[in-house]
Amino acid sequence: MVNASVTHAEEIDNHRLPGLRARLLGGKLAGHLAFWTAGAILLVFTGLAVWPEAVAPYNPRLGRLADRHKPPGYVDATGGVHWLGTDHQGRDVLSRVIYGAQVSLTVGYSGVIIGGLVGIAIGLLAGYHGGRLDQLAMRVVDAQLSFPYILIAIVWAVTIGSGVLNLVAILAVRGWVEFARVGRGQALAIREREYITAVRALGGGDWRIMLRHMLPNVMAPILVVAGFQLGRLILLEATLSFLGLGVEPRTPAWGSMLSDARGYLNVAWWTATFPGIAIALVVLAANFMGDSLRDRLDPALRNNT
Amino acid sequence: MRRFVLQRLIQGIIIVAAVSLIVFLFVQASGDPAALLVPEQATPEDVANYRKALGLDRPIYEQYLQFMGNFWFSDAVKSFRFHQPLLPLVLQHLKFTLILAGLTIVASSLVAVPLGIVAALGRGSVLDVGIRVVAVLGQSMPSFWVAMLLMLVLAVHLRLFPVSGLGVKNVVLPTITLAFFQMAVLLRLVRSELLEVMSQDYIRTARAKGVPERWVTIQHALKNAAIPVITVMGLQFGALVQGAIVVEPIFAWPGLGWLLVESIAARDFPVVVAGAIVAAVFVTVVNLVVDILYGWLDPRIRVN
Repeated sequence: MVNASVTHAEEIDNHRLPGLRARLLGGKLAGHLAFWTAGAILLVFTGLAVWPEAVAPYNPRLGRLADRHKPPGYVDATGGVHWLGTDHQGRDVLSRVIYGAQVSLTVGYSGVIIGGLVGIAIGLLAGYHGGRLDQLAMRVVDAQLSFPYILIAIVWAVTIGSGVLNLVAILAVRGWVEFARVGRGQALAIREREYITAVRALGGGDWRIMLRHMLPNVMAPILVVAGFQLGRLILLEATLSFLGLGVEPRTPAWGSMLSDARGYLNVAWWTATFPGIAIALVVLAANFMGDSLRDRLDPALRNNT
Repeated sequence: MRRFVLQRLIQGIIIVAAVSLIVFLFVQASGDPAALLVPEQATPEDVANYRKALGLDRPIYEQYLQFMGNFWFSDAVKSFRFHQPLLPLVLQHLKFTLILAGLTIVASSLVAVPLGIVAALGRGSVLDVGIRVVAVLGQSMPSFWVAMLLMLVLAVHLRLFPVSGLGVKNVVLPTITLAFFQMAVLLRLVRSELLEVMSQDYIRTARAKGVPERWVTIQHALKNAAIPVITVMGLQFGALVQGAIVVEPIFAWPGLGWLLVESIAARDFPVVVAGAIVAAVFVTVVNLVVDILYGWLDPRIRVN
C-alpha cells in the first residue's frame, strides 16, 4: 500500500527512479532473464522430443513388475538407477517423461503452425477486404471464443477418433482463432497506409499487397500470439490425453501418465508429480516467451492476447 | 439498447444452433447407436426395427430438427442410460455446476482483487514479482494436475477433505482447483488495469488538488479499474464451464461436466448433445447479461 503521508513530489521521484532491486527484478534484466530462460527450456524440451533416445536411460515402454512403484533414486537388480522412480508397471518415470515430450511438442508445434497459417490467411483476407467476409469471420471467431471448446474436442476425439492426426486437427481448429483476430486487426490498421495505396497505384494486385506488403508487417504480433498458443495447445493436448483421448495408450504422453497415476496417489506420489512438472514447465516457458516477445516486439498488443 | 440486445440474442441463437449441429453431426458420424443398444443376440431385423423406432433411418437434417423439437418441447427422446427426459436431466446436473461456478467466482475474486491491488501499488517490488509468478503458474499448470496435487496433499495425506463425491466438504477441492486458474487471470487483469488507470490524467488531477493518495486509489482508480475486471469475470464463464468439464469428473462432482464426460464414455449420445446445447445456452446468456451490465456500469460504452 502506498503510504498516504508520502508527499506527491516523493511519489513522482519514486516513479521516475525505481530502486536497484526493482530494476533488477521488474525491469529490463528480468525481461532478458525471462526471455532466455524460457527460450532455453523450450529448446531443451524440443531437443528431448527430437532425440529422446540420446538422453533417456531406459526403454519407456518396458518395465519389470518386480520394480513397480519404486521411489525416486531406486536402484534395480541390474544396478540401474531410476532417478524419478518407477510407475505401476515398473517402467522408468524419467524415461517416460523424456519420451512424453515427443507427443506434446510434435502435436503442439503442428497445431500452432497449421492453426497459424489458416488463421493468418483468414485474418488478412477479412481485414483487407472488410465487408461481409470480415463480419462472418469475426462472428465465427467470437462464437468459438465464447464457447467451451474442450467439449467439441472431447466429442471429436470420441466419435471421429484420436491419434496424432486427429489431435493436430483438433488443436489447429482451436488455435487459428487468435491468429485470425490479430492478423485482421493488423490488416485493418495497415490497409489505409500510404505505402499500400502506392503499391496499388503502381498496379499491385490484392494478393501481392497481402503477401508481400502486409504479411511481413504482421509477423511481429503473430510471433507473440504463437508463443501463447503453444502453451494453450499443449495444455489442451495434455487434457485430452489425461481423459484417455490422446495418442494410442502405449505411447508415453504426459497427460496419460498422470491419468495412470490417479489410481495410486497414496502409494506413488512421484508418478503424479513429475509428468505434471514437465507440462507446467513447457507451458510456463511458452507463456513467458509470449510475454517477453510482446514486451520486446509489440507492447501495444497487451490487451489482445 | 433494445436493438443491441436483440442483435445479441439472434447471435446467441445462431451459436447454440451451430454448436448443437456440430455435436449432433459428430455423433452421427461415429456410427450407429442402435448397434450398441440392442442386445447381442438381436437379429439384423431387430436392429432395423429398433433403428426405425428411434427414427435413425431418416435423413440427418430431419433427425436433427426432430431432436431439437423433442429436446425443447417434449419428453420423447430419453437418455439411453438414465431413461429420463433430457432437459430435466441436464438441468438437474447444471445446478451443481452453478454452485461450483458461483463459489469459484467468489473465491477467486476474494484472492485476486486484493493481491492485484497490492501488486500494482508496489509495482516492481519483490512482492509484485512474487504475486505475478503465482499468477503465471496458475495459468500454466493444467487444472487436472492441480486437482491431483490437491488430492494428494489435502485429501490423501492430510485427510482434510474427501477425495470425491457430493457434499459440503466435497466442494472445497474442486473450487480451489478452478479458482486457482480464475484467480491467475483476474489477478493479472486487476494489476494491469489499475496500473493503466493510475497513469490517467484524472488521477494526476486528483493528486494535484490534494486528494490523499489512499482516497485517490480507492475512489478514483479502483472504481474505474473495476469495469473491465467485471466484464472479464463474466466472459471467463466460458472458461469456467470448460474447467468444470475437466475437473468435475476427477472429483466425481455431479455437475454438467461430469454428466457430459460420463455420457460420452457410455456413448449416451442424446445426453451429450443435450448437455452441449445447455452449456452453449448458459454461456451465451451469461455473456449477454455481462454485455448489458457493462453498458449500465459504464455509460461511455452505451453511446457507441
